[in-house]
Amino acid sequence: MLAAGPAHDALSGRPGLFEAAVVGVAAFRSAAKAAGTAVCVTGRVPVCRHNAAHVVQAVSAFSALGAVAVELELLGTDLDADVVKAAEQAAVVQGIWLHVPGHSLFPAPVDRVEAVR
Amino acid sequence: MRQSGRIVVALVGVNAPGYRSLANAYLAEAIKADQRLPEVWVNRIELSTAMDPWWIAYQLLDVDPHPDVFGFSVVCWNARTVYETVRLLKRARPDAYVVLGGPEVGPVAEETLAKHPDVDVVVRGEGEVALPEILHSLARGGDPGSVPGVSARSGDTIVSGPAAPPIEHLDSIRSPFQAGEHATDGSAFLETYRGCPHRCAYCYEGKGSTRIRSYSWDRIAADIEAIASTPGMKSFSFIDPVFNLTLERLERLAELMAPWAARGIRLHTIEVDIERVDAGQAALLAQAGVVSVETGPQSVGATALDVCARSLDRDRFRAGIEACRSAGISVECDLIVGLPGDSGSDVLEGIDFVLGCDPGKVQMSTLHVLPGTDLWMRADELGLVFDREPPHEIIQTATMTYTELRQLEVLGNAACVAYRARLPRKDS
Repeated sequence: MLAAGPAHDALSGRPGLFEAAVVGVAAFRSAAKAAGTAVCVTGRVPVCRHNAAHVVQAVSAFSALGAVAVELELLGTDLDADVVKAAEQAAVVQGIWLHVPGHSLFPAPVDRVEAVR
Repeated sequence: MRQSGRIVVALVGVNAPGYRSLANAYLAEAIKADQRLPEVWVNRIELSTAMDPWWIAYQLLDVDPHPDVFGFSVVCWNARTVYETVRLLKRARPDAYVVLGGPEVGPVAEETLAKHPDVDVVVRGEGEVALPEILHSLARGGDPGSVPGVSARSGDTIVSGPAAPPIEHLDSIRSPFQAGEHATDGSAFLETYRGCPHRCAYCYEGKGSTRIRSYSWDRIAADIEAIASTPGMKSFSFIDPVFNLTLERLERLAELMAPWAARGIRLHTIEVDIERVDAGQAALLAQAGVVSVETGPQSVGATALDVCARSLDRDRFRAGIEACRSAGISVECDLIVGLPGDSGSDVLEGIDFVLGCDPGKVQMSTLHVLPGTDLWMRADELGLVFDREPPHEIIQTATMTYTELRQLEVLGNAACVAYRARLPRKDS
Protein backbone atom coordinates (compact mmCIF):
# COMPACT_ATOMS: atom_id res chain seq x y z
CA MET A 1 0.00 0.00 0.00
CA LEU A 2 1.39 3.38 -0.99
CA ALA A 3 -0.97 5.51 1.05
CA ALA A 4 -4.54 5.48 2.36
CA GLY A 5 -7.72 6.16 0.41
CA PRO A 6 -7.66 8.41 -2.66
CA ALA A 7 -3.94 9.12 -2.19
CA HIS A 8 -3.20 5.46 -2.81
CA ASP A 9 -5.29 5.52 -5.99
CA ALA A 10 -3.59 8.71 -7.16
CA LEU A 11 -0.07 7.44 -6.49
CA SER A 12 -0.77 4.09 -8.15
CA GLY A 13 -2.64 5.68 -11.03
CA ARG A 14 -5.47 3.19 -10.64
CA PRO A 15 -8.78 4.58 -9.36
CA GLY A 16 -10.56 2.26 -6.93
CA LEU A 17 -7.42 0.28 -6.08
CA PHE A 18 -7.47 1.17 -2.37
CA GLU A 19 -11.08 0.12 -1.95
CA ALA A 20 -10.34 -3.10 -3.81
CA ALA A 21 -7.50 -3.84 -1.39
CA VAL A 22 -9.77 -3.20 1.59
CA VAL A 23 -12.44 -5.49 0.18
CA GLY A 24 -9.84 -8.14 -0.65
CA VAL A 25 -8.31 -8.24 2.82
CA ALA A 26 -11.76 -8.35 4.43
CA ALA A 27 -12.77 -11.22 2.18
CA PHE A 28 -9.54 -13.05 2.98
CA ARG A 29 -10.08 -12.68 6.72
CA SER A 30 -13.72 -13.67 6.41
CA ALA A 31 -12.88 -16.79 4.42
CA ALA A 32 -10.18 -17.75 6.91
CA LYS A 33 -12.59 -17.32 9.82
CA ALA A 34 -15.21 -19.43 8.08
CA ALA A 35 -12.61 -22.13 7.48
CA GLY A 36 -11.30 -21.96 11.04
CA THR A 37 -7.86 -21.10 9.74
CA ALA A 38 -5.58 -18.74 11.66
CA VAL A 39 -4.19 -16.04 9.42
CA CYS A 40 -1.86 -13.14 9.95
CA VAL A 41 -2.22 -9.93 7.97
CA THR A 42 0.92 -7.89 7.60
CA GLY A 43 1.49 -4.87 5.41
CA ARG A 44 4.23 -3.51 3.24
CA VAL A 45 4.55 0.13 2.29
CA PRO A 46 7.00 0.88 -0.55
CA VAL A 47 8.31 4.34 0.32
CA CYS A 48 9.71 6.86 -2.10
CA ARG A 49 9.80 10.64 -2.04
CA HIS A 50 6.31 10.79 -3.55
CA ASN A 51 4.53 9.07 -0.67
CA ALA A 52 6.83 9.75 2.30
CA ALA A 53 4.24 12.17 3.68
CA HIS A 54 1.55 9.46 3.57
CA VAL A 55 3.29 6.79 5.62
CA VAL A 56 1.39 7.41 8.86
CA GLN A 57 -1.97 7.25 7.08
CA ALA A 58 -0.93 4.01 5.38
CA VAL A 59 -0.04 2.47 8.74
CA SER A 60 -3.43 3.48 10.12
CA ALA A 61 -5.14 1.99 7.07
CA PHE A 62 -3.39 -1.31 7.74
CA SER A 63 -4.49 -1.11 11.37
CA ALA A 64 -8.10 -0.78 10.24
CA LEU A 65 -7.58 -3.91 8.15
CA GLY A 66 -6.44 -5.88 11.21
CA ALA A 67 -2.75 -6.05 10.36
CA VAL A 68 -0.36 -6.86 13.21
CA ALA A 69 2.82 -5.63 11.53
CA VAL A 70 3.84 -3.28 8.74
CA GLU A 71 7.17 -2.98 7.00
CA LEU A 72 8.32 0.17 5.27
CA GLU A 73 10.24 -0.74 2.14
CA LEU A 74 12.61 2.13 1.46
CA LEU A 75 13.00 2.58 -2.30
CA GLY A 76 16.25 4.38 -2.84
CA THR A 77 15.49 6.95 -0.23
CA ASP A 78 15.95 7.32 3.46
CA LEU A 79 13.15 8.59 5.56
CA ASP A 80 13.40 11.62 7.74
CA ALA A 81 13.80 10.53 11.37
CA ASP A 82 10.72 12.54 12.34
CA VAL A 83 8.61 10.64 9.81
CA VAL A 84 9.88 7.30 11.12
CA LYS A 85 9.16 8.38 14.68
CA ALA A 86 5.66 9.51 13.82
CA ALA A 87 4.96 6.27 11.97
CA GLU A 88 6.33 4.17 14.84
CA GLN A 89 4.19 6.02 17.36
CA ALA A 90 1.09 5.69 15.21
CA ALA A 91 1.77 1.99 14.80
CA VAL A 92 2.41 1.13 18.45
CA VAL A 93 -0.63 2.98 19.78
CA GLN A 94 -2.74 1.08 17.24
CA GLY A 95 -1.19 -2.24 18.24
CA ILE A 96 0.90 -2.66 15.09
CA TRP A 97 4.59 -3.44 14.96
CA LEU A 98 6.36 -1.20 12.44
CA HIS A 99 9.58 -2.43 10.93
CA VAL A 100 11.81 0.03 9.13
CA PRO A 101 15.04 -1.45 7.77
CA GLY A 102 17.98 0.45 9.16
CA HIS A 103 15.84 2.11 11.81
CA SER A 104 14.13 -0.63 13.80
CA LEU A 105 15.67 -2.03 16.90
CA PHE A 106 14.10 -5.42 16.26
CA PRO A 107 13.58 -7.53 13.11
CA ALA A 108 10.06 -7.78 11.74
CA PRO A 109 7.96 -10.39 13.61
CA VAL A 110 7.22 -12.45 10.54
CA ASP A 111 10.91 -12.58 9.67
CA ARG A 112 11.59 -13.55 13.26
CA VAL A 113 9.15 -16.46 13.04
CA GLU A 114 10.73 -17.61 9.80
CA ALA A 115 14.29 -17.10 11.01
CA VAL A 116 13.96 -19.45 13.94
CA ARG A 117 12.27 -22.25 12.03
CA MET B 1 -33.78 -11.58 57.39
CA ARG B 2 -31.38 -12.22 60.22
CA GLN B 3 -34.25 -11.44 62.61
CA SER B 4 -36.33 -14.15 60.97
CA GLY B 5 -33.47 -16.61 61.23
CA ARG B 6 -33.22 -16.96 57.48
CA ILE B 7 -30.24 -15.69 55.52
CA VAL B 8 -30.31 -15.27 51.77
CA VAL B 9 -26.83 -15.39 50.27
CA ALA B 10 -25.92 -14.46 46.70
CA LEU B 11 -22.55 -15.78 45.54
CA VAL B 12 -21.64 -13.65 42.58
CA GLY B 13 -19.19 -14.76 39.92
CA VAL B 14 -17.95 -12.00 37.63
CA ASN B 15 -16.25 -14.30 35.17
CA ALA B 16 -14.50 -14.23 31.85
CA PRO B 17 -17.23 -14.67 29.24
CA GLY B 18 -18.35 -18.29 28.99
CA TYR B 19 -16.99 -19.36 32.39
CA ARG B 20 -18.50 -20.06 35.82
CA SER B 21 -16.82 -19.42 39.14
CA LEU B 22 -15.33 -22.60 40.61
CA ALA B 23 -14.72 -20.77 43.88
CA ASN B 24 -18.42 -20.03 44.26
CA ALA B 25 -19.27 -23.67 43.55
CA TYR B 26 -17.06 -24.72 46.46
CA LEU B 27 -18.43 -21.96 48.71
CA ALA B 28 -22.05 -22.86 47.98
CA GLU B 29 -21.43 -26.47 48.96
CA ALA B 30 -19.58 -25.41 52.11
CA ILE B 31 -22.53 -23.28 53.22
CA LYS B 32 -25.03 -26.02 52.47
CA ALA B 33 -22.95 -28.54 54.41
CA ASP B 34 -22.71 -26.45 57.58
CA GLN B 35 -25.32 -27.87 59.95
CA ARG B 36 -24.90 -25.07 62.48
CA LEU B 37 -26.34 -22.44 60.20
CA PRO B 38 -30.01 -21.52 60.33
CA GLU B 39 -32.03 -21.66 57.16
CA VAL B 40 -29.73 -20.36 54.42
CA TRP B 41 -30.72 -19.86 50.83
CA VAL B 42 -27.74 -19.83 48.52
CA ASN B 43 -28.10 -18.31 45.10
CA ARG B 44 -25.19 -18.60 42.66
CA ILE B 45 -25.29 -15.79 40.13
CA GLU B 46 -22.84 -16.17 37.27
CA LEU B 47 -22.18 -12.96 35.33
CA SER B 48 -19.49 -11.71 33.00
CA THR B 49 -16.83 -9.02 32.95
CA ALA B 50 -18.26 -8.11 29.56
CA MET B 51 -21.25 -6.64 31.39
CA ASP B 52 -21.51 -3.07 32.59
CA PRO B 53 -21.46 -2.82 36.42
CA TRP B 54 -24.80 -0.99 36.32
CA TRP B 55 -26.43 -4.01 34.71
CA ILE B 56 -24.63 -6.41 37.03
CA ALA B 57 -26.05 -4.39 39.93
CA TYR B 58 -29.46 -4.50 38.26
CA GLN B 59 -29.41 -8.28 38.11
CA LEU B 60 -28.28 -8.56 41.73
CA LEU B 61 -30.90 -6.11 42.99
CA ASP B 62 -33.63 -7.84 41.02
CA VAL B 63 -33.12 -11.15 42.78
CA ASP B 64 -36.15 -12.32 44.72
CA PRO B 65 -35.98 -12.77 47.66
CA HIS B 66 -33.48 -9.98 48.20
CA PRO B 67 -30.10 -11.36 49.27
CA ASP B 68 -28.93 -10.33 52.72
CA VAL B 69 -25.34 -11.15 51.90
CA PHE B 70 -23.49 -10.70 48.62
CA GLY B 71 -20.24 -12.61 48.19
CA PHE B 72 -17.79 -11.85 45.39
CA SER B 73 -14.69 -13.77 44.37
CA VAL B 74 -12.17 -11.13 43.29
CA VAL B 75 -9.21 -11.55 40.97
CA CYS B 76 -7.11 -8.85 39.33
CA TRP B 77 -9.03 -8.86 36.06
CA ASN B 78 -12.53 -8.53 37.54
CA ALA B 79 -11.67 -6.29 40.51
CA ARG B 80 -12.58 -2.95 38.96
CA THR B 81 -15.94 -4.30 37.85
CA VAL B 82 -16.60 -5.80 41.29
CA TYR B 83 -15.70 -2.60 43.14
CA GLU B 84 -17.95 -0.50 40.92
CA THR B 85 -20.77 -3.02 41.27
CA VAL B 86 -20.43 -3.04 45.05
CA ARG B 87 -20.49 0.75 45.13
CA LEU B 88 -23.78 0.84 43.20
CA LEU B 89 -25.20 -2.07 45.17
CA LYS B 90 -24.61 -0.41 48.51
CA ARG B 91 -26.14 2.87 47.35
CA ALA B 92 -29.34 1.04 46.47
CA ARG B 93 -29.25 -1.47 49.35
CA PRO B 94 -27.29 0.03 52.28
CA ASP B 95 -28.43 -2.84 54.49
CA ALA B 96 -26.84 -5.50 52.26
CA TYR B 97 -23.73 -7.17 53.64
CA VAL B 98 -20.83 -7.42 51.18
CA VAL B 99 -18.16 -10.09 51.54
CA LEU B 100 -15.13 -10.22 49.27
CA GLY B 101 -12.59 -13.01 48.92
CA GLY B 102 -10.01 -14.19 46.45
CA PRO B 103 -6.35 -13.51 45.60
CA GLU B 104 -6.89 -9.86 44.70
CA VAL B 105 -8.15 -8.90 48.15
CA GLY B 106 -7.07 -11.62 50.58
CA PRO B 107 -3.41 -10.57 50.85
CA VAL B 108 -4.38 -6.89 51.27
CA ALA B 109 -7.58 -7.28 53.28
CA GLU B 110 -7.27 -4.27 55.56
CA GLU B 111 -6.12 -1.99 52.72
CA THR B 112 -9.10 -3.15 50.66
CA LEU B 113 -11.53 -2.35 53.46
CA ALA B 114 -9.92 1.04 54.01
CA LYS B 115 -10.11 1.91 50.34
CA HIS B 116 -13.59 0.57 49.62
CA PRO B 117 -16.00 1.72 52.34
CA ASP B 118 -18.88 -0.28 50.83
CA VAL B 119 -17.15 -3.58 51.54
CA ASP B 120 -18.01 -5.08 54.93
CA VAL B 121 -15.77 -8.14 55.13
CA VAL B 122 -12.71 -9.52 53.35
CA VAL B 123 -11.75 -13.18 53.63
CA ARG B 124 -7.98 -13.48 53.80
CA GLY B 125 -7.56 -17.11 52.75
CA GLU B 126 -9.65 -20.13 51.84
CA GLY B 127 -13.34 -19.34 52.02
CA GLU B 128 -14.86 -22.77 52.64
CA VAL B 129 -14.43 -22.42 56.40
CA ALA B 130 -14.43 -18.64 56.74
CA LEU B 131 -17.66 -17.86 54.86
CA PRO B 132 -19.88 -20.23 56.88
CA GLU B 133 -18.27 -18.80 60.02
CA ILE B 134 -19.13 -15.27 58.88
CA LEU B 135 -22.74 -16.30 58.23
CA HIS B 136 -22.85 -18.06 61.58
CA SER B 137 -21.59 -14.90 63.26
CA LEU B 138 -24.15 -12.73 61.45
CA ALA B 139 -26.97 -15.13 62.34
CA ARG B 140 -26.06 -14.77 66.01
CA GLY B 141 -25.76 -11.01 65.71
CA GLY B 142 -22.04 -11.28 66.34
CA ASP B 143 -19.02 -9.52 64.91
CA PRO B 144 -17.45 -11.28 61.90
CA GLY B 145 -14.23 -9.39 62.59
CA SER B 146 -13.32 -11.98 65.19
CA VAL B 147 -13.61 -14.88 62.74
CA PRO B 148 -10.22 -16.48 61.97
CA GLY B 149 -8.96 -15.54 58.50
CA VAL B 150 -11.30 -12.57 58.21
CA SER B 151 -10.94 -8.79 58.33
CA ALA B 152 -14.08 -6.76 58.83
CA ARG B 153 -15.43 -3.27 59.27
CA SER B 154 -16.61 -2.62 62.80
CA GLY B 155 -18.05 0.86 63.08
CA ASP B 156 -15.29 3.23 62.04
CA THR B 157 -12.50 0.75 62.56
CA ILE B 158 -11.21 -2.29 60.76
CA VAL B 159 -10.61 -5.40 62.79
CA SER B 160 -8.87 -8.60 61.81
CA GLY B 161 -9.39 -12.02 63.31
CA PRO B 162 -6.42 -14.32 63.81
CA ALA B 163 -4.85 -16.03 60.82
CA ALA B 164 -6.68 -19.16 59.75
CA PRO B 165 -4.63 -22.27 59.06
CA PRO B 166 -5.02 -23.86 55.62
CA ILE B 167 -7.73 -26.52 55.46
CA GLU B 168 -5.80 -29.62 56.47
CA HIS B 169 -7.99 -32.36 55.04
CA LEU B 170 -9.34 -31.25 51.68
CA ASP B 171 -11.78 -34.15 51.58
CA SER B 172 -13.67 -32.32 54.35
CA ILE B 173 -14.73 -29.82 51.68
CA ARG B 174 -17.89 -31.02 50.00
CA SER B 175 -17.41 -31.69 46.30
CA PRO B 176 -19.23 -29.30 43.97
CA PHE B 177 -18.58 -31.71 41.13
CA GLN B 178 -20.44 -34.57 42.76
CA ALA B 179 -23.25 -32.13 43.53
CA GLY B 180 -23.45 -31.34 39.82
CA GLU B 181 -22.27 -27.79 40.39
CA HIS B 182 -19.63 -27.62 37.70
CA ALA B 183 -19.39 -25.85 34.39
CA THR B 184 -20.25 -27.20 31.01
CA ASP B 185 -18.17 -28.77 28.26
CA GLY B 186 -14.76 -27.20 27.77
CA SER B 187 -15.01 -24.75 30.65
CA ALA B 188 -15.11 -27.19 33.58
CA PHE B 189 -12.02 -27.25 35.79
CA LEU B 190 -11.09 -29.75 38.47
CA GLU B 191 -8.51 -29.47 41.25
CA THR B 192 -6.77 -32.46 42.79
CA TYR B 193 -4.60 -30.53 45.21
CA ARG B 194 -3.97 -27.06 46.58
CA GLY B 195 -0.62 -25.32 46.87
CA CYS B 196 2.32 -25.21 44.50
CA PRO B 197 5.80 -26.72 44.72
CA HIS B 198 7.27 -23.58 43.17
CA ARG B 199 7.60 -20.07 44.57
CA CYS B 200 7.65 -17.99 41.41
CA ALA B 201 7.93 -14.38 42.52
CA TYR B 202 5.10 -13.13 40.30
CA CYS B 203 2.56 -15.81 41.28
CA TYR B 204 0.25 -16.16 44.29
CA GLU B 205 -0.70 -19.80 43.70
CA GLY B 206 1.41 -21.15 46.58
CA LYS B 207 0.50 -18.26 48.90
CA GLY B 208 4.03 -18.07 50.20
CA SER B 209 4.39 -21.79 50.86
CA THR B 210 5.50 -24.79 48.84
CA ARG B 211 3.33 -27.16 50.85
CA ILE B 212 0.99 -29.39 48.86
CA ARG B 213 -2.36 -30.54 50.22
CA SER B 214 -4.02 -33.23 48.17
CA TYR B 215 -7.49 -34.68 47.99
CA SER B 216 -7.62 -38.46 48.52
CA TRP B 217 -7.50 -40.67 45.47
CA ASP B 218 -11.03 -41.87 46.17
CA ARG B 219 -12.23 -38.27 46.13
CA ILE B 220 -10.26 -37.46 42.96
CA ALA B 221 -11.65 -40.54 41.20
CA ALA B 222 -15.20 -39.63 42.20
CA ASP B 223 -14.74 -36.01 41.06
CA ILE B 224 -13.34 -37.13 37.70
CA GLU B 225 -16.26 -39.47 37.23
CA ALA B 226 -18.74 -36.75 38.16
CA ILE B 227 -17.37 -34.41 35.52
CA ALA B 228 -16.48 -36.90 32.81
CA SER B 229 -19.84 -38.68 32.95
CA THR B 230 -21.81 -35.46 32.50
CA PRO B 231 -23.92 -35.78 29.34
CA GLY B 232 -22.38 -33.76 26.52
CA MET B 233 -19.01 -33.41 28.24
CA LYS B 234 -16.20 -33.83 25.73
CA SER B 235 -13.35 -31.95 27.34
CA PHE B 236 -12.39 -30.34 30.59
CA SER B 237 -9.24 -29.26 32.38
CA PHE B 238 -7.39 -29.42 35.67
CA ILE B 239 -6.33 -26.27 37.51
CA ASP B 240 -3.50 -28.03 39.31
CA PRO B 241 -0.41 -25.78 39.00
CA VAL B 242 1.73 -28.78 38.00
CA PHE B 243 -0.15 -31.79 36.59
CA ASN B 244 3.02 -33.92 36.54
CA LEU B 245 3.82 -33.03 40.14
CA THR B 246 5.38 -36.48 40.66
CA LEU B 247 5.68 -39.46 38.35
CA GLU B 248 3.57 -41.55 40.73
CA ARG B 249 0.83 -38.94 40.73
CA LEU B 250 0.88 -38.64 36.95
CA GLU B 251 0.65 -42.43 36.63
CA ARG B 252 -2.34 -42.49 38.95
CA LEU B 253 -4.11 -39.67 37.15
CA ALA B 254 -3.45 -41.34 33.78
CA GLU B 255 -4.89 -44.57 35.17
CA LEU B 256 -8.01 -42.78 36.43
CA MET B 257 -8.50 -40.82 33.23
CA ALA B 258 -7.72 -43.62 30.77
CA PRO B 259 -11.23 -45.15 30.69
CA TRP B 260 -12.71 -41.72 30.03
CA ALA B 261 -10.08 -40.91 27.42
CA ALA B 262 -10.99 -44.15 25.68
CA ARG B 263 -14.56 -42.84 25.49
CA GLY B 264 -13.38 -39.63 23.85
CA ILE B 265 -13.02 -37.30 26.84
CA ARG B 266 -10.09 -34.94 26.30
CA LEU B 267 -8.10 -32.76 28.69
CA HIS B 268 -6.95 -29.37 27.50
CA THR B 269 -4.54 -26.67 28.73
CA ILE B 270 -2.98 -28.82 31.43
CA GLU B 271 -0.14 -27.04 33.22
CA VAL B 272 3.03 -29.12 33.32
CA ASP B 273 6.66 -28.85 34.28
CA ILE B 274 7.82 -29.42 30.70
CA GLU B 275 11.43 -30.13 31.62
CA ARG B 276 10.34 -33.31 33.39
CA VAL B 277 8.32 -34.60 30.45
CA ASP B 278 10.12 -37.41 28.66
CA ALA B 279 8.68 -40.02 26.31
CA GLY B 280 7.28 -41.95 29.26
CA GLN B 281 5.53 -38.96 30.82
CA ALA B 282 4.25 -37.85 27.41
CA ALA B 283 2.75 -41.30 26.93
CA LEU B 284 1.03 -41.02 30.32
CA LEU B 285 -0.34 -37.60 29.41
CA ALA B 286 -1.69 -39.02 26.15
CA GLN B 287 -3.17 -41.96 28.06
CA ALA B 288 -5.00 -39.45 30.27
CA GLY B 289 -6.51 -37.86 27.17
CA VAL B 290 -4.37 -34.71 27.31
CA VAL B 291 -4.37 -32.86 24.00
CA SER B 292 -2.69 -29.63 25.06
CA VAL B 293 -0.41 -28.52 27.86
CA GLU B 294 0.74 -25.12 29.03
CA THR B 295 4.13 -24.23 30.40
CA GLY B 296 6.76 -21.48 30.74
CA PRO B 297 9.48 -20.48 30.35
CA GLN B 298 8.14 -16.93 31.13
CA SER B 299 11.68 -15.62 30.53
CA VAL B 300 15.07 -16.82 29.38
CA GLY B 301 16.94 -13.98 31.06
CA ALA B 302 19.29 -15.22 33.75
CA THR B 303 18.62 -12.29 36.08
CA ALA B 304 14.84 -12.47 35.77
CA LEU B 305 14.85 -16.22 36.31
CA ASP B 306 16.99 -15.78 39.41
CA VAL B 307 14.89 -12.96 40.87
CA CYS B 308 11.68 -14.88 40.14
CA ALA B 309 13.04 -18.10 41.72
CA ARG B 310 12.70 -20.01 38.47
CA SER B 311 15.10 -22.13 36.50
CA LEU B 312 15.42 -23.03 32.85
CA ASP B 313 17.36 -25.85 31.23
CA ARG B 314 16.94 -25.10 27.54
CA ASP B 315 17.87 -28.58 26.36
CA ARG B 316 15.42 -30.27 28.69
CA PHE B 317 12.76 -27.69 27.82
CA ARG B 318 13.15 -28.43 24.10
CA ALA B 319 13.19 -32.17 24.78
CA GLY B 320 9.96 -31.90 26.76
CA ILE B 321 8.22 -30.11 23.91
CA GLU B 322 9.53 -32.67 21.44
CA ALA B 323 8.27 -35.51 23.63
CA CYS B 324 4.81 -33.94 23.80
CA ARG B 325 4.73 -33.34 20.07
CA SER B 326 5.71 -36.95 19.41
CA ALA B 327 2.77 -38.00 21.58
CA GLY B 328 0.40 -35.73 19.66
CA ILE B 329 0.15 -33.14 22.43
CA SER B 330 0.23 -29.44 21.61
CA VAL B 331 2.29 -27.19 23.87
CA GLU B 332 1.56 -23.58 24.73
CA CYS B 333 4.64 -21.64 25.82
CA ASP B 334 4.12 -18.55 27.95
CA LEU B 335 6.38 -15.51 28.14
CA ILE B 336 5.99 -12.52 30.44
CA VAL B 337 7.07 -9.02 29.40
CA GLY B 338 8.29 -6.83 32.21
CA LEU B 339 9.93 -9.21 34.66
CA PRO B 340 12.57 -7.57 36.86
CA GLY B 341 16.05 -7.86 35.41
CA ASP B 342 14.89 -8.57 31.87
CA SER B 343 16.06 -6.22 29.14
CA GLY B 344 14.46 -5.84 25.75
CA SER B 345 17.11 -8.18 24.38
CA ASP B 346 16.16 -10.83 26.94
CA VAL B 347 12.52 -10.62 25.87
CA LEU B 348 13.51 -10.94 22.21
CA GLU B 349 15.77 -13.87 23.01
CA GLY B 350 12.83 -15.46 24.82
CA ILE B 351 10.63 -15.04 21.74
CA ASP B 352 13.33 -16.55 19.54
CA PHE B 353 13.83 -19.44 21.95
CA VAL B 354 10.19 -20.48 22.18
CA LEU B 355 9.56 -20.00 18.47
CA GLY B 356 12.62 -22.14 17.82
CA CYS B 357 11.08 -24.88 19.96
CA ASP B 358 8.01 -24.78 17.65
CA PRO B 359 5.65 -25.73 20.50
CA GLY B 360 2.31 -25.20 18.77
CA LYS B 361 1.25 -22.00 20.50
CA VAL B 362 3.07 -19.06 22.04
CA GLN B 363 1.47 -16.53 24.33
CA MET B 364 3.01 -13.34 25.64
CA SER B 365 1.49 -11.43 28.51
CA THR B 366 2.44 -8.33 30.43
CA LEU B 367 3.57 -8.67 34.02
CA HIS B 368 0.88 -8.03 36.60
CA VAL B 369 2.36 -7.31 40.02
CA LEU B 370 -0.20 -9.16 42.11
CA PRO B 371 -0.98 -8.59 45.80
CA GLY B 372 0.75 -11.05 48.09
CA THR B 373 3.47 -12.01 45.64
CA ASP B 374 7.17 -11.55 46.21
CA LEU B 375 7.25 -8.96 43.44
CA TRP B 376 4.46 -6.97 45.15
CA MET B 377 6.43 -6.93 48.39
CA ARG B 378 9.82 -6.27 46.76
CA ALA B 379 8.67 -3.84 44.07
CA ASP B 380 10.59 -0.84 45.40
CA GLU B 381 13.75 -2.84 45.97
CA LEU B 382 13.56 -4.26 42.45
CA GLY B 383 12.71 -0.94 40.81
CA LEU B 384 9.30 -2.11 39.60
CA VAL B 385 6.83 0.66 38.90
CA PHE B 386 3.34 -0.74 38.50
CA ASP B 387 -0.27 0.35 38.62
CA ARG B 388 -1.53 0.01 42.19
CA GLU B 389 -5.02 -0.24 40.76
CA PRO B 390 -6.10 -3.65 39.40
CA PRO B 391 -5.10 -5.37 37.21
CA HIS B 392 -1.71 -4.04 38.42
CA GLU B 393 0.11 -3.95 35.10
CA ILE B 394 3.79 -3.11 35.04
CA ILE B 395 4.48 0.49 34.03
CA GLN B 396 8.26 0.37 33.85
CA THR B 397 11.15 -1.53 35.35
CA ALA B 398 14.72 -0.71 36.28
CA THR B 399 15.82 -2.16 32.94
CA MET B 400 12.95 -1.28 30.60
CA THR B 401 11.20 2.01 30.03
CA TYR B 402 7.44 2.45 29.65
CA THR B 403 7.77 2.85 25.89
CA GLU B 404 10.05 -0.17 25.50
CA LEU B 405 7.56 -2.33 27.37
CA ARG B 406 4.67 -1.18 25.19
CA GLN B 407 6.74 -1.72 22.02
CA LEU B 408 7.66 -5.22 23.13
CA GLU B 409 4.02 -6.01 23.88
CA VAL B 410 3.10 -5.03 20.34
CA LEU B 411 6.04 -6.88 18.80
CA GLY B 412 5.30 -9.96 20.91
CA ASN B 413 1.65 -9.97 19.90
CA ALA B 414 2.62 -9.70 16.24
CA ALA B 415 5.08 -12.57 16.59
CA CYS B 416 2.47 -14.76 18.35
CA VAL B 417 -0.16 -14.05 15.69
CA ALA B 418 2.34 -14.70 12.90
CA TYR B 419 3.39 -17.96 14.54
CA ARG B 420 -0.23 -19.08 15.02
CA ALA B 421 -0.80 -18.55 11.29
CA ARG B 422 2.31 -20.45 10.21
CA LEU B 423 2.17 -23.52 8.08
CA PRO B 424 2.56 -26.58 10.32
CA ARG B 425 5.70 -28.66 10.23
CA LYS B 426 5.52 -31.65 7.93
CA ASP B 427 5.94 -34.04 10.87
CA SER B 428 3.21 -32.46 13.00
